[in-house]
Amino acid sequence: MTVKKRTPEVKQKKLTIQDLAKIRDKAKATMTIRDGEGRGRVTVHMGTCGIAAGAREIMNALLDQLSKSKVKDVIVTTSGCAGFCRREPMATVEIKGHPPVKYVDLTPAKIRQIVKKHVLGGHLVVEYALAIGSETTY
Amino acid sequence: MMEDLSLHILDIVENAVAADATRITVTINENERRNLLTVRISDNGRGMSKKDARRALDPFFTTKGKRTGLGLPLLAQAAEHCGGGAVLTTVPNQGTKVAARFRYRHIDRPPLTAMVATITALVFGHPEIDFRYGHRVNGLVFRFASREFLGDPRSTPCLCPSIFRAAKKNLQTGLKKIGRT
Ligand SMILES: Nc1ncnc2c1ncn2[C@@H]1O[C@H](COP(=O)(O)OP(=O)(O)OP(=O)(O)O)[C@@H](O)[C@H]1O
Ligand SMILES: [Mg+2]
Repeated sequence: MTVKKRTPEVKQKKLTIQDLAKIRDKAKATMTIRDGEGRGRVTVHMGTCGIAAGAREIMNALLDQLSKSKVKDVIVTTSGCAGFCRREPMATVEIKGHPPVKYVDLTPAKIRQIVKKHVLGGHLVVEYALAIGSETTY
Repeated sequence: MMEDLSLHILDIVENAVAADATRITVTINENERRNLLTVRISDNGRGMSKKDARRALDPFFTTKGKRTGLGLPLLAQAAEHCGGGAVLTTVPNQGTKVAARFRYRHIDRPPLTAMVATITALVFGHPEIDFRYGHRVNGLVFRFASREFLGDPRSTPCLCPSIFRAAKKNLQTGLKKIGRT
């Protein structure tokens, strides 16, 4: 990083350590989950093909919807290209005890629906799904 | 294919994530006086062998079990097209650095566009990773560190709405002050 000492730092009202500690303490009870704990996992495909097709906006809509719904026991992560580049953006939803479901041709609105119906409600959104257990194609 | 630099950055950082990095640094330096924009992404992931590194900019090289590997070649192509270039430095088991230079005022230089979206997607898509982001626009500097918002790196922090909002707000206001989004 080529940052020289004389560079003026942008002055902004920074969150103090105390502010952050407060936020963190409030969240502590449910702060951490490990894989295998919690309700499940949503993986957004973030290979180059996914990113070019809009995966970033899918990820941000997913995060926003989960956080609005106060869902704290779902792991969000990314993976590379799944080999269905033409159906990107894609995400895989894995709810504990159920086979993984791949959703294709996503939009921010679709991923929000998927959070509400599948992640929260437990009902697969058939219209947007590619496969169950990645063999069966709809 | 990739119309803005913040998307290239996301893509190159996702390579570092896939290489099991635990610390990733993104540095952007915009210097209008020198007509230069540089982007550096460094990670402490598994690195690449000399042989793989030589082929990394080849669109038909990937180690991910598919036919093409486009992230690095697309960035290199964009940079070269704008009077600059990309340099890959990598050491097995130590990490990788990708640096790209663009002529700032080159007519085809992709705009940066949406760094807030790129950083929030990375930080909350990988809360276990220590992300650092520094962005300098001429004289002004903004710095962001995911550790200021997320706790213990040894366990996966869950998505906490207040922390998500606080980090996003911090990025928005910080970048606004240096004239970026
Ligand atoms: N930061 C890194 N650390 C270690 N290896 C890397 C890194 N970045 C790239 N590589 C290696 O270089 C290869 C090519 O990367 P590139 O981004 O061009 O394509 P890809 O990631 O394989 O596929 P795509 O980006 O098209 O989804 C990768 O498969 C990986 O083996
Ligand atoms: Mg890649």
